[in-house]
Amino acid sequence: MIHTQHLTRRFKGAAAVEDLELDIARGEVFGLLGPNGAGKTTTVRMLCGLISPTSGQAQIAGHQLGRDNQQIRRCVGVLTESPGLYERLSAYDNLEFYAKLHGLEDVAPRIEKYLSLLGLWARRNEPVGRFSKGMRQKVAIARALLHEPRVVFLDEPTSGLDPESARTVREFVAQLSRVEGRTVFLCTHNLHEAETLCHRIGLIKQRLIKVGTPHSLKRELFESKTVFELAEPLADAQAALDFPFVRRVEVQDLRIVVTLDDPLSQNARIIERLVACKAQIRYVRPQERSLEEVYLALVKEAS
Amino acid sequence: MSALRLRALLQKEWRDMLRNKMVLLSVIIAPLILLSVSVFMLVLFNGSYEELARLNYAGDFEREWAILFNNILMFFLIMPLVIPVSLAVYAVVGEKEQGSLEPLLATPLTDGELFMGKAVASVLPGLAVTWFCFGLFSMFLLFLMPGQAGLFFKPAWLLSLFALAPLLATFSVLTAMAISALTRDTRAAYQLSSLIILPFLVGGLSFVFTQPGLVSPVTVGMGMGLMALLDALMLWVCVRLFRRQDILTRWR
Repeated sequence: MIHTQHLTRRFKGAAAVEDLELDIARGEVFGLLGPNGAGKTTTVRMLCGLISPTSGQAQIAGHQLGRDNQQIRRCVGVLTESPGLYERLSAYDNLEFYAKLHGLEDVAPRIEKYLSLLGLWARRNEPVGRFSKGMRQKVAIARALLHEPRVVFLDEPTSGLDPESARTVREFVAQLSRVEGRTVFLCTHNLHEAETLCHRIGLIKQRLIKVGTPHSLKRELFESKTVFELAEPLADAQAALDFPFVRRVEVQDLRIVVTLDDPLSQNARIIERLVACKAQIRYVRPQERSLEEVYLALVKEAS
Repeated sequence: MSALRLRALLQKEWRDMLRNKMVLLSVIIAPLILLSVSVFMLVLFNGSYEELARLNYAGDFEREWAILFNNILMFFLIMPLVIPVSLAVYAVVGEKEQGSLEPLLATPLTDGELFMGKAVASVLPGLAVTWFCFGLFSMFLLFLMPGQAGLFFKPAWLLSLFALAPLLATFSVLTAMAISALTRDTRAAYQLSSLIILPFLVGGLSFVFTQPGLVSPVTVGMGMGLMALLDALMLWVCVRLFRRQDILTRWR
């Protein structure tokens, strides 16, 4: 659905985005993460046909960037960094205007559908200027989806929202991909959001540093560790777990953290040995790494 | 160019304008002042005229009425220049300031449609208010001094009001929009527009319309031709100046 080749954008010689290579499938939620100024917004603007790349190519929903910008703007929906609504107009009037710009005919039912889904139908006639930040963000999301685009670009969709509104928005985004099969391109600083919503994540800092599923990124970056929690301390755990496939054993009071090459096949051998040493195992779990750790490690590496 | 998108843009601009009290006031106050001054001048001059007639004044009354009516007509040509400027100045820079320009440019709306829609949305209210005020003034004239009405409703003046005024208004609006596309905040756009449009056009009009001999169907027709050329030139300048990429990436 989105395919880029060596996409580059420079401003006065300085690269905002360099050599971007992406392949995003239909129905995929792709998250673009990166520090401020990493080129996320520039990437979105290029892919929407708002600004042209300095070099490189891209196809969005089968349309060639540059040559078919008008068609691209017809089939993508964009949630920009700020909602950018007409504050004196009502939510309904704002959406009606955009629906007409997209040449929609069944305007009223579509507006009702999206405002109802986002819980704003009852307040459709109030000027947007009276709305809270979260409500405005919801209206802007409805605006991005009104023409039922095949690709939706969401730039910080939950930025500045309270937890409840953020959750509503996240559920809505998940539904877009899961139920409606739309491709979602999500720019966010919220790593938890990226981890829960995105099928794949790309880390960018002018160049694309890494792309993968949240799970694969963690696995690729960090060693696999298994935590064994015991009821009582085990004397000389290091010696007890002296297997050739064990790379490291860390003993922390009642907890033994074992670094393994292949935990799925090797955990059972460790458990057998611990039981043989009369250790009472309370539970066994893989050591979780957060996406934040992955993100920080990658950004540090790129710097 | 899509008529549907143009209509949508017009509808939005007018809805927004009707809900903006400051803009509404700017649309209403200037014409009210100019109309009041025109009626005041008419009443004052009529009083003097009656007094002079009573004293058997031997001057050229027709020429003096013509000078007065030229001055009044000039007010009706200033109105469509002044009123739409405040609307047009906001066209690009206002959208940028409230963050609505980027979502707007992400739609299939073309640059030409954006400029055309915004220009028409600014010109028409100015013309409507001007013609409404002209109607009111005509009623005053017919009521106060029906004998002089024939001197006022001359082809050259009617042509000025109904054909030259839209062209002047379009030029003023396009200039304001070009300034709006170049400046980074509304205040600067207002100041620059006031500096450029008003002295140039109002000064020019004042010169022409205070010389009774210069106002004829031929000179008005020539003025229309010149303004049509200037309008086309200014539209070209506007589209050239409107660089959506620069506006999106350089303005913060």
